[in-house]
Amino acid sequence: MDIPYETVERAVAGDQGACREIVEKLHRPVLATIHRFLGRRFSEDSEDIAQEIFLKVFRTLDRFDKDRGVKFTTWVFTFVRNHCFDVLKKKRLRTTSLQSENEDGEDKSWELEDGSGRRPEELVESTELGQQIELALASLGEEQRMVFVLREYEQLDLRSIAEVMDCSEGTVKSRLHRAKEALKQKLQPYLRTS
Amino acid sequence: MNENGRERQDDASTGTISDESLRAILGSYSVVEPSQDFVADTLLRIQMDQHSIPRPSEDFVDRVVCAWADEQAGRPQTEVLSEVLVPVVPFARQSGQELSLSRTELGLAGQRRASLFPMALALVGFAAALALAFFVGRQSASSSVLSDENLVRIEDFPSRGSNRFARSLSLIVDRVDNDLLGNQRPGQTGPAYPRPVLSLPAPPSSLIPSAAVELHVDRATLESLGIAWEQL
Repeated sequence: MDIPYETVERAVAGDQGACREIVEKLHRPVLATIHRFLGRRFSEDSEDIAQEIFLKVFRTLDRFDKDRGVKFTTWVFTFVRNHCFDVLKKKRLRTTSLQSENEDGEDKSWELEDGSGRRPEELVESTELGQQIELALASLGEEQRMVFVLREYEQLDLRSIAEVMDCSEGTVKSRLHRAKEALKQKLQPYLRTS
Repeated sequence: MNENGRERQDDASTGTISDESLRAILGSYSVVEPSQDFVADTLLRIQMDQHSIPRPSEDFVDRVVCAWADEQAGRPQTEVLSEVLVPVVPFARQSGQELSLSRTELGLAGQRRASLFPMALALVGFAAALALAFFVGRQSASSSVLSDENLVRIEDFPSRGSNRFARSLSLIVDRVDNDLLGNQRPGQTGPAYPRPVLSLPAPPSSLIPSAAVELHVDRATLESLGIAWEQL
């Protein structure tokens, strides 16, 4: 899936065909990662978020250094990770701000607890497995969630994930393992036992 | 506890569920398809973004530095532009430092004045031919000492003085053709007239896209040619 460096060079030189090639090849994995990491509460914004990420990528395209031994796709996913983390950070700030301004005393902490943006009654009504997986993913910490999505859904290798997350491969393995175990517990009713 | 130890403990807690089983259900969490226009919209935004940050022109820094230097020197912008665009510099009275500065100024704005080059080159060639004619025709004549008061200086050529310069040259050339190029007046011996001096500065440097021309003609020569000083 990786983009040839020659294509990147052409895009740096202003070749719009090369830009299109990059966006066409990467927009699905980028959008899917955004969607899985941020959850459906951001589904209406996911394409805007993806566009922002692509803009950041293209603004700094000339800084991509192939001699570092990092794949272009991996480099792009570092933008995905950073931007998604920023989005959540801003969301948390806004949510905290709304809570502090809440005068009727209603507890809205559920928004922070499950991260899905859904009210408890909606959760009870939800029986679809996909939604349960989304909830389970949302319960993970940000670092674990991103590692899990990149590994299990986008099939990135451990080294690439370590590059994206700016950590060691050992840390990636550890986060991945903990994420799996947490998900197994959350999704136990849907999993076949041996 | 090391990484392996933790793994073993976790496996013990959920020992009956395999990774394969988890993977088998992960596909149930599908994502929505991107909209059909997503790629086109993204490319449009990228192009707009690229075009919204125009790159500065190549001589942008030079122009800023020049403008800043001029401002520090207290020169109004209009005069500065005029001076930069006028390639004729009175080399004869110029110190080395001034000359260096002038050449720098001229060189920095060279690209913008490229259109002036052909006209300046033609006039330089014309003046050079005229000088050669003088020297060939009056080789034996003694040189005269010229004072600044008796020099015609076309210092603002070509932007403001090009017409004047051309008129002066044509006046002189007419007389030279008729009277000076080896054609003495009837009954006259020896040098007919004081030697006119038409001097050219050193060949233009590659840094100077337009040539610098200075016309030196003394008053007596002009009068002997029948040209009034005031005509120039």
